[in-house]
Amino acid sequence: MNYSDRIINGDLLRFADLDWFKKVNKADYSYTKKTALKNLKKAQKSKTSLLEQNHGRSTVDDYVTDAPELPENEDKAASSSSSSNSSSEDSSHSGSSSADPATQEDK
Amino acid sequence: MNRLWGKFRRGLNTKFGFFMLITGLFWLKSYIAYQTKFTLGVQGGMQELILAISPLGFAILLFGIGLYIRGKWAYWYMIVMDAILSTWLFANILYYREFSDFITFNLIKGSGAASDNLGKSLMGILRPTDFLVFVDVIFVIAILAFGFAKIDQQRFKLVNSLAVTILSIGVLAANLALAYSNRSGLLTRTFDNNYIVKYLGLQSFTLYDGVKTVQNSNKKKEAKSSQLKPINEFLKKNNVPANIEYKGVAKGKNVIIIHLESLQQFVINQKWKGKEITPNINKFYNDKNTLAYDNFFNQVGQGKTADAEMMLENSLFGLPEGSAMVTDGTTNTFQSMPAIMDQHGYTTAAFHGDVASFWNRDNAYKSFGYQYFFSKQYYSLKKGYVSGYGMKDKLFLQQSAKFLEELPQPFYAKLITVSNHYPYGIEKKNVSIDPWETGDSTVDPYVQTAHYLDQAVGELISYLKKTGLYDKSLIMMYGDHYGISNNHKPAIAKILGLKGVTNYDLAMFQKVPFMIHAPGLKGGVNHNYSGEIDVMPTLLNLLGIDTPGAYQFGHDINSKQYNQIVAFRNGDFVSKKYTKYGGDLYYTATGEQITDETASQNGRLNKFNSTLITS
Repeated sequence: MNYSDRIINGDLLRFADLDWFKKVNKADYSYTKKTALKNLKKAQKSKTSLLEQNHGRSTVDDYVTDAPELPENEDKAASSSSSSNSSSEDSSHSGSSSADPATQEDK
Repeated sequence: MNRLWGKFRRGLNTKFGFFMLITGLFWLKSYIAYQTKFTLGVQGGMQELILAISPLGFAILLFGIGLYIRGKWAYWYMIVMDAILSTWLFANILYYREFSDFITFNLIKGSGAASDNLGKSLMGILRPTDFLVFVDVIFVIAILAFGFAKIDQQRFKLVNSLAVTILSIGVLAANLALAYSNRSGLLTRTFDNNYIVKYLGLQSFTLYDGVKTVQNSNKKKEAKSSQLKPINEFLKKNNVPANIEYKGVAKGKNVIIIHLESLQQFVINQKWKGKEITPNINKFYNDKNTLAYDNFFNQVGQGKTADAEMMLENSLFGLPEGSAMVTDGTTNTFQSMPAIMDQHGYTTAAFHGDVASFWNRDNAYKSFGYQYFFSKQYYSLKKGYVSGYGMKDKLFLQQSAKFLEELPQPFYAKLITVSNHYPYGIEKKNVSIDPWETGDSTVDPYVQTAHYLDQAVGELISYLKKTGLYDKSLIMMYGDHYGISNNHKPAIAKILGLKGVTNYDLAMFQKVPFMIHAPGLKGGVNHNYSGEIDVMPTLLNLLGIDTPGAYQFGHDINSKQYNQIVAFRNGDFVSKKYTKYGGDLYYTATGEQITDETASQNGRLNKFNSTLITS
């Protein structure tokens, strides 16, 4: 692992020139929402996205989820939780107490 | 009342009184700014207390220096310091509003690359209340200018100045101790700048960032291109050829990577109370066009998820301490998977339902060459949509569809789930399987969050099939690291149906799922002992992309000459023949412990160790 660590600690890949690889210029990227969404819109000109291939018809409605947080699933969730729930605990949360990210082992 | 007021006025006429006022106002202002201008995720009384204390230590220390200075210069010093600190706070408020992160020295150094034209959009993000951070500065200037407080020309006793300095150090130490009691590894693992500000305050963060930046910069300054020579030789010597049977079978396909947070291999194809824990992932795993790897290990260190990403995207190991994505992600040059894919005509995007700054992804992903990074700010969040570390998986994946469908094809997309995350808290309405019954409250709900993750993945797969993306894509799933740590041995034994666990069992417990599906791919279960470092070369060969001379420390797992040595960050390893874990040595095939090493075994182990240390 020493060699791998040396590459990272010394930023050695800045010295590496490979004829098939162009080094990344960070200035080419912006993750601000406004810019990214503008870029994504512009990218539709390539006509290769799923949306463009569907002639602008979104596939979002094809995504089916039973997430109980969504209004369309609320009734279903309410009836299933009243009819079952041997599988859940008494508290509104199962699992160990708080979901406080800062006190967790991390991800 | 009048007496109190008189006392206050008289106090203000002393240097110490002015120091108290300026420190108190700065502290109050910082605390209000932390609460109202940043989203630090403060939860619970202890964190509230830490946040309240955090601006105090540095305020006492920095303004306290004024007590060593004579006459009017002491006042000048304190006012200028207040103005500088307030300007820094102001700048961070603006930067945070746009990027949900704090200003670092690396950002300042490379402002052209990383500022994202902040200047241009400054007017758009300014709010009138932002200027309130200067109110106290104006106030202290005004009370001096209008004679409400007089300049104290007397020298403040040195011993008293020293006492103030010692007090500030005490407050800083107490702050650090409280922070560590609530968040261990805060400064060694450096998860997120938000955490450091939350626990230690903005000034401490700036100092910490400065020290780290200097340390890193010195290391990089000393580095020379000649250092690559032995590495080149090592990589050439250990290179293995691609398996021709698999080379290029997914050429030109979209790549969809599903990051299965904390999912471990042992849940695959397992049931609990007659119910499959991960039925959707099992179906994917057992598909005839899925190549699954059942001896695939996580190799992460302290950086956990960030280490996994570093290995998967770069075939470079995480560092022994902290997270390379945090310490070096902003400044380093990489030969990353997204950049390579971009240069082969792919659109590249990462999706994650948490803040962009976590693990410094907002900067590291730029260095990796991701064109898009859809983080929490891109998603519609309503009450109940977020749990623990980010958006619930079902909602996150569902909302990701609107971005996925807009990506020009072919694309390389990585979706990072988060619901199956320690401490495995799950709301009753999201539960559809009983918890385990080990008696360990940390471990028992893991099965429920894993099951929820599986349901979310199942919904995504259905969508991909419905839209035709499934047949146009190589889909890869992987578990990034263990979910149940080795601190829960009795529970692990119960889950695995064992009386107790040995170090061998714990080593095998480090296996995580890794599977690749593509239309026409000859599937099956590959039993090679492999790890996360090998993902990038494996994937590149399936995509038919050659990367001669690239600095990748992994190997194509499908290669007929694949070496089957898995190195863990702490020096332990698993190979086809031997497993070394927690100081014990075992035969990998049987789990039998080797207590008396023969000379030949010793030689072989030394060879392994030498390869692992160097690679």
